[in-house]
Amino acid sequence: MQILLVEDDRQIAERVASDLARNGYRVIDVATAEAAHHALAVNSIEAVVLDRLLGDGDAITIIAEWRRAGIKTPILVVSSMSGVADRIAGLAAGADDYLAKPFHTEELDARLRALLRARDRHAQRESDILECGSIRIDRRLRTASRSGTPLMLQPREYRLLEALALSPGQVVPRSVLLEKVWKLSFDPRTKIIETHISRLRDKLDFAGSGEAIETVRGIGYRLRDDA
Amino acid sequence: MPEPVRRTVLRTVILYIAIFGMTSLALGEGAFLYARHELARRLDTRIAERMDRLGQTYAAGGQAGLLRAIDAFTDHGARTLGYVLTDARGQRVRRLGDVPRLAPGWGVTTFEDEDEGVTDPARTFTRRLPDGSTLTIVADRDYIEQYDAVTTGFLFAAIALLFLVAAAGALSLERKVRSRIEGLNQTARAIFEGDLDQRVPISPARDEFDAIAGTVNAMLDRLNWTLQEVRRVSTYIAHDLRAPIVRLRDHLQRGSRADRGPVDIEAVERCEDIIRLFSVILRIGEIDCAMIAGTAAEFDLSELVAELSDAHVAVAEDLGRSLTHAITPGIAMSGDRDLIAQLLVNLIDNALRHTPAGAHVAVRLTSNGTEACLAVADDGAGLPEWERRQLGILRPRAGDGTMREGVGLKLAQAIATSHQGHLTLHDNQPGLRVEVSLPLHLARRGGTG
Repeated sequence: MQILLVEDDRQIAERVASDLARNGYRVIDVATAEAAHHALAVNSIEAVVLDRLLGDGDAITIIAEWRRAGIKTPILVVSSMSGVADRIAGLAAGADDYLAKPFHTEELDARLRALLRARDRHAQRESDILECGSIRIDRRLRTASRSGTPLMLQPREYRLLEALALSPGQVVPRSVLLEKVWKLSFDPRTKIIETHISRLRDKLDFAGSGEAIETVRGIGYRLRDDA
Repeated sequence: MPEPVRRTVLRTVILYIAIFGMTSLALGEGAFLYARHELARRLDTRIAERMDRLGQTYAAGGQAGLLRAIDAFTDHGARTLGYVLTDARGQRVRRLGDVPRLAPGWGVTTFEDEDEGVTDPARTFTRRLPDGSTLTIVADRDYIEQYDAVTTGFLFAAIALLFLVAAAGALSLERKVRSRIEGLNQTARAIFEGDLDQRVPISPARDEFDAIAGTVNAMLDRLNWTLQEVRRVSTYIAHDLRAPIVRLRDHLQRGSRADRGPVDIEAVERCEDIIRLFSVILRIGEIDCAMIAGTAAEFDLSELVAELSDAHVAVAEDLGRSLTHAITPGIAMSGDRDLIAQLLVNLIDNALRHTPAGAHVAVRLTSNGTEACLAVADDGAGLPEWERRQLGILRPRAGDGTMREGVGLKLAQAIATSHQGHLTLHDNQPGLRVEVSLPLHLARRGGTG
């Protein structure tokens, strides 16, 4: 999978590029908007990671230009500004996601995967049934079961499980869970995720079944597809 | 609402009118008295000259000559002067009304004017002639009196007019000054409320007020620039400090993955804490009203508060505390939903963190139709009065990490302020109650600009 990384801070660029490479991406790393435009034209790029402020341009203008030019490649904007206005401006211009610095490479990875999945989903209709290991979710009835045993979930617990099951076997960053379940764009200091994950675990992990939700320290949670 | 101001300009102007009026009055009165005195003196001079002339006539032509001369004067229509001649025996040889024989020298009398049928005051000068008879010249002061009446009337009319013109001028001057000052005031108020882009309007007249406005605007530009510079610098500092900490955290985590020893979870968590603290500080700097204006949208506040309160019921339970909420449904407000969410979470976090196990936290949301009131109350130890009053001052306190609490409340306060609301701390007896009032609709900012 080929990713275009546009970042003018060399130190960050090298770190992110090497981390992404370790996660199995092929990374084309450029520092300017012009180089990015050129790279997009000559390579087959599946997603762009674009820094909010470049030496020769502002992400919002660049995205608007690309979108006008018919470039549909998913774009993830990375910014040191976490302000909501900034986020909204970025998304309005045609970005697909927004990530505030500093971030974990795992979080970037998870978001990139989500972007690519979303792109694929456009092609094939999403199914109403999600299956992940022994867990089965009926999105139409909003019910879930494990090994055939129905789970009595609170609405928020259901949403949490659904959010995890959309990326079976992969880390879902805390920020994604907060956005999907509670519509929060910031990470509260209160242990809101921990508490609800713990309740969800209590209901998922009944006698005989293995631990379904794995904690990935500092990043997020993974719903095991082998449990 | 602007409070009533002491109208210094008006009072000063009125004082000046009063002083000006008094001075004019005094000058007018002085001129009047001088003119009157001068008229009286000229009359006396004329009487004295006439007397001299008649004295010479008498010396040359005796009584008969004198009478002829008097007749001649009288016939010539010079009616101002009248003559009374009394012979040595006291017989009136020539009379004028009922003027009696007078002692020699200057005097004042009244006589009945036969033409007008009224009694007029008169100036008299009497001389004893060599044959023992006395000649009195009587001057009608009537025209001096008339002058008095006319001049006084004129003087009062002039002063009244002067007052009217001055008062009208003063009022219009006062209004003009006030309107210009009001422009300045409105701008200042708007800026005070956070609209830093407001500037004092400058009229095409380019007068001294515009000069002040120009200076104030230049000062505001300068301040704004400084503020932005401070923000930029804070952002740079936070970034520059944050970057190595992020690298440190990544290094710690990667080290563990590369099997270079167990990950020091404590160290990673400390790093996370510092990174989060920087993010909060950066966020406080980012929040300003212009931003709110850009992202404000109407959302269901009741739903948001209910959802977040619900989410924290379990969190509180896990911490050995309890949380309940009483939320009036259907309260919609316009603002930034994300920031309001952060505000509420910060308040709940604050309450859960600073109460002993077993404590109870109550979230309440009410509305009076124009403002929503969000209150988070606990029954913990509370805060002493002076500390409640000092909220908003970012200061480190004893113990580790307590500055974070200050930052959390500070962020909540910044969010409330950016939504034109207020955050206040109250004694919950026992415990602390944080109240946030939020206008349901953001008021349009200040002045005309």
